[in-house]
Amino acid sequence: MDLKRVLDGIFALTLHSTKKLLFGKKAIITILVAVFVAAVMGYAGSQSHDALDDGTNLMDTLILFFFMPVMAMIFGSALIRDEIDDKSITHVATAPLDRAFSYLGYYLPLVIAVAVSMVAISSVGVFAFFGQHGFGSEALQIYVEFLALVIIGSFVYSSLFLAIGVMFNKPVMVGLFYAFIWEGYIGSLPGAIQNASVKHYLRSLGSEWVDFGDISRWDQASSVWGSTALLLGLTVFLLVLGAYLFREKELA
Amino acid sequence: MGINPIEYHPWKGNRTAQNLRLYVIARSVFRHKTRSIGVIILLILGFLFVHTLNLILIIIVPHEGLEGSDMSSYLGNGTFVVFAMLLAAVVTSDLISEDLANSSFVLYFSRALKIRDYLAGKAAGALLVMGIFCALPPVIVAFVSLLTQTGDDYWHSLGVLGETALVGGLVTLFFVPFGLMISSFTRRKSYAAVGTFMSFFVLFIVSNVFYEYDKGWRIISPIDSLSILFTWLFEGDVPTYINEGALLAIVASLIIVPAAVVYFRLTRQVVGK
Amino acid sequence: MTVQDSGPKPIIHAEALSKWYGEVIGLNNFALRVTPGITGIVGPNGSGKSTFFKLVLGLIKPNAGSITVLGQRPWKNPDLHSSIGFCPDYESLPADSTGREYLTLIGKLHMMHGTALSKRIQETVRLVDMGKALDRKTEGYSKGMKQRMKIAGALLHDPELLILDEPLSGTDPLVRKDLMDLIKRLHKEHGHDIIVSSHVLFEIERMTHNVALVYMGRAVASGDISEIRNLMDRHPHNIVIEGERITALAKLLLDQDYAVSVSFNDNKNSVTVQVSRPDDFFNGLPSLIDRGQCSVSKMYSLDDNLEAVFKYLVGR
Repeated sequence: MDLKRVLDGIFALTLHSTKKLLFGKKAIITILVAVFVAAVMGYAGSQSHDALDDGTNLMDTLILFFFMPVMAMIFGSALIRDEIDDKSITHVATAPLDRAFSYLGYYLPLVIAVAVSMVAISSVGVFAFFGQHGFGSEALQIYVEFLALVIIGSFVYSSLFLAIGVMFNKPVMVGLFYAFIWEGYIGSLPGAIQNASVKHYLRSLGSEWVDFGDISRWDQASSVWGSTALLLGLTVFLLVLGAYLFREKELA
Repeated sequence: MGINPIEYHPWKGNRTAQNLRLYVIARSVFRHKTRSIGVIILLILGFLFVHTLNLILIIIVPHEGLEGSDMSSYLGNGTFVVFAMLLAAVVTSDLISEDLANSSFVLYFSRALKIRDYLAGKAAGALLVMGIFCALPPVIVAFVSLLTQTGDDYWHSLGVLGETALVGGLVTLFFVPFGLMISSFTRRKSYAAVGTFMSFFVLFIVSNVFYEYDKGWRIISPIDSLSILFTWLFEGDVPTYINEGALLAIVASLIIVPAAVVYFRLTRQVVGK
Repeated sequence: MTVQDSGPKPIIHAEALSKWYGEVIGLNNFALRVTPGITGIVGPNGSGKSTFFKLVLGLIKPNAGSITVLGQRPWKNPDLHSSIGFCPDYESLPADSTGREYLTLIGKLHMMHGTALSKRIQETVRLVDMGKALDRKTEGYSKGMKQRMKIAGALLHDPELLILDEPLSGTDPLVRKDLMDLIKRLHKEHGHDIIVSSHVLFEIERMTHNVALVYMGRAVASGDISEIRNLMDRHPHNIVIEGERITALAKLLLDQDYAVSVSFNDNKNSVTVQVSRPDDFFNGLPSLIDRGQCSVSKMYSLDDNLEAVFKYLVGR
């Protein structure tokens, strides 16, 4: 295996897909979501009397709980599937690059696109909310901590939704089910069942880092090291699984 | 040799058999949907989670009559509306988007078919499918309750049965225009399904966020607004922080505005804009 | 059909190759030996041409049999793609990219960089006459432009073997002629071995004399196109004759030993003749018209497509 050719191939695909995701039609979704988050958090900021707690709760609910998996789903579940469906995947499938590495060339731009979008959306929300209360060091700390969480979330959710895109013919439907029903419903239930969601481990990390809002007082959090290990393990497992399935996939 | 001009004479005849055309479209939608695996799975899950348990409870628990409060807690707990929302997203997702994607529009509107009839046919088919989950089972549950009641105030129970039918009809109707509107915005049915479900879910999230500051915001959540409306219909009162006029305006606007938008959107599509 | 091992070393060698999609058979016991040069693969829609190409490229896995391309097995063998350029029959250009972006991506996937890549892109687009449209979005291209750009993508890394799946379909006659000339030039001047498919024998004939006929998932014949033509001539032809006093002509035709059957169409001015030896029929027709005192206004063959020959070859 020629390492240079592999790295060149991954880099070329990453560059191409990042550009497509960040500057293509899907960029409109990021802008709309950012405007929406700005409006909601702006209004909430004008009504809030306890900015640090309320702002943190909003970031937790709106960004981490809702838009994080939704944006990863929108970007990720259709990335490979759309190319399979419109057959533009042909030039990748007939390139001298092992498909397992091509898969990595889809994963990296997906992570970049989801992370950039979520950082932009989070930033707009934070400034719309805390801008009305003075952006102090504690607000900055909340901002940085949530940015870290959305970046970690981008790695995990991207691996999940990209794998769904290879596994299923209708990944958006499966993604919809996962993002809304599984993460939204199962992840909100009390007891051990909520441990079966990515959100649980992201919030567990958040509960250790963030000092304000409900997330800081959350009593069902898993340990930081356990959560880190699980998220890392899950990401690697999903990447390997997705790459294997993509390699074995017949592109009829 | 000169070129002979083609003389164009617009068609000035009368459209006939409009109702038959509408019926054919509705029947086609209904048949297609009731054979779809996704719709069948959702219907089965919905029956299991929403209706079956209530039906069993009504049969085994002795009751004096059919009470509005029972129907309110059965239909207003959120699960019924969430399933209706999911079903509407799946049922309406391809109704217009697929016609846009495969250019069936040309086929439809090259015939003597009006946009109004096309939309009515599509909506009627979707409403029939929605009715299987939203209207029929609640009426059956209410009817079974009426048949198995121990008391003899049947007029009161019949009244609640009527209210149940009204609620079922409202939920059947509520999500379809919005789903059709989103379906007319895209050529991909998966995006239409996600768009429909997400739009309602976003309103739900926003309502929950703003509820912390002003409880009146509850009405912008379709799940909550329908639940409050059911309580109002069955029990005659609404929470004090809810403005009845605003509630009715929100519910009506979520039906009327999307219906108008989809009509004008299709009018523009047909003339190629 | 058997595959002969004589002659030059094959670039593609398929033996007892089968591929099915659920209950649908794509290829069935397919055997073919493709030698260097231009080879035409001819077959009606759904005959298995594209399935064969997908197997050649390793996009799908055979269910049975074996295939080697340039001496290597294609499934899960990305290294082989360095030597193959593929122009599919479907739309495969990314809609939101310009021609340059598309070619740049392909070039980089083939380890081409910087000025060498830019230079090669310019050379290739000049070859396919797409220089002016290079910076336009591909979704705005006409059908012919898309075909040219796909061919440019296949050519960019200067592969040994070019696979062109129905490159002429949907194009107008002028573009068709240009593309056929281009394909011939790519072999003659640039030395590429080319496999080109079509469902029109005439188009393939303009590019090569070396053809393989594919029908119902099988390679039913391969060799020089003149042999195929002879086969077509030996096969009974259906010819429609229209004009006046055709009844008299029909009577005379019935007496000819090359006429297999004569049947009237919707009216007595139109007749369909099935002939076993078309050459004899065409040579003898003027004298029959003269003897029958009839006038012929229109005459055409129903067998210009290959379907009849295909059916004949598979014994149906």
